Amino acid sequence: MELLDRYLLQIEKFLPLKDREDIIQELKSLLLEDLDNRMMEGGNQDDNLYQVIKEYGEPREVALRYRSDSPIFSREMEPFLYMVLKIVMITTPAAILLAKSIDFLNSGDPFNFINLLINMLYSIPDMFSAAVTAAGFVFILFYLIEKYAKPNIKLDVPEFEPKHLPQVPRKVYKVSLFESIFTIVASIVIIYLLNYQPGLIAIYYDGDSIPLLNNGFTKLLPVINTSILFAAGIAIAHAIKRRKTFITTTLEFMQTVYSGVVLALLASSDIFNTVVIEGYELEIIPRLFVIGASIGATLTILGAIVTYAKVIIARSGSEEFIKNTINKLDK
Amino acid sequence: MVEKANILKNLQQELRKGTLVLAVLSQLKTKHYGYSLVETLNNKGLFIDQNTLYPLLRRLDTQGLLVSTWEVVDPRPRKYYELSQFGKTILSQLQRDYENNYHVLSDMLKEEN
Repeated sequence: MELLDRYLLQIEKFLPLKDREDIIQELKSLLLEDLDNRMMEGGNQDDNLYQVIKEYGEPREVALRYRSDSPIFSREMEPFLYMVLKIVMITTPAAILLAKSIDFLNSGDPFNFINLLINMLYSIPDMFSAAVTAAGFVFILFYLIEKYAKPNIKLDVPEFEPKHLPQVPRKVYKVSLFESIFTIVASIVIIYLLNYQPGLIAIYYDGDSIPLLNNGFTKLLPVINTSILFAAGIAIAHAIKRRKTFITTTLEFMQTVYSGVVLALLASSDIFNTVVIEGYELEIIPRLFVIGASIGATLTILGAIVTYAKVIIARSGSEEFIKNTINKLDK
Repeated sequence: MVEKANILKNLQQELRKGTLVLAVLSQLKTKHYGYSLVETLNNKGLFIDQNTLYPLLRRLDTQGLLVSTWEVVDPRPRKYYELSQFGKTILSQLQRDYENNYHVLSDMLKEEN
């Protein structure tokens, strides 16, 4: 039956969100009904199930029959789109980084590796912005090609082989699509606000707005940007794969610890505009921020360690061993 | 030759597509779940793929032509479909249209040039 779960999971990926659960439940019931009938004619359950799935067809094709809308990009066009997107999203930020580094080296200041590194970190928002803009252009370009040029691409699609269906992820490797999309959108908004609209974080009084944060915060921006981009990158990987892998889980652990460190760094730095704080008697804000950020940093790091430990335990298969040991201790 | 075969296949599919909905609606005067409906249609000589029928049932259900209910029948839950009141009205209208078309077409096809 594991093969059926693997098959249904792949179909589920392409189904409309609101009907997903009902369609999968119905499909499961119908495919099992088919299996039961074949079993009455004899044969092995695994072989019969293999045949039921093979005859029912490739998961994406099956799911598309349940959709009234057609996909934006055809199956033939998708590999080209992904290839160009990958190239553009690597080369555009790399070109920006190279240009900024050359600019820094030509500035006439004596060469210092740390300064070069800091300069590179400050380039992150521009690299991010360039990559998103370039990806957007590629997407629009491919959309126009698909809609108006309608290229006749012949793709050798291999015959559907149920045995090649990906495994069902273990519980710790399951991913929420909503959570991934939320992280990506939130990352873009935060990066934009912090880097391009920092004046919005201000005290609004009597029609005036006075920035709440000082240069100390601006100096920490590169490390904050790195943390946010790191999180967005992992969320993108999860949204595409629809599951976590051991590598992305490890990266997620590293990112969470890193963001905890960034929070601690923010808590211990002088980032508030003292003129505003003292002028408006708002000393409570930095105090509350230090307490909140310190607690947040501690909980973030501890949470990351606990979550990752669970993954390691599940991966090593020692879950049973630990449960048995606890049971023995209880006795 | 291959192209001619494809043309015939496409035309046959188009011809069949229109009558498929009528056939499905006609059998849903009594309650059926997906697999039992495939069997019924197959037994009556109308061969239909499961992966064509199941999405069609959902579409007709969404359009309000059918009423669907989940029922737990040993050994597993099944989703049953049956004509709704609106579905019955549509079926009788479609039936009239089909019979009319059938007579007109039959006469046309009998004509000798």
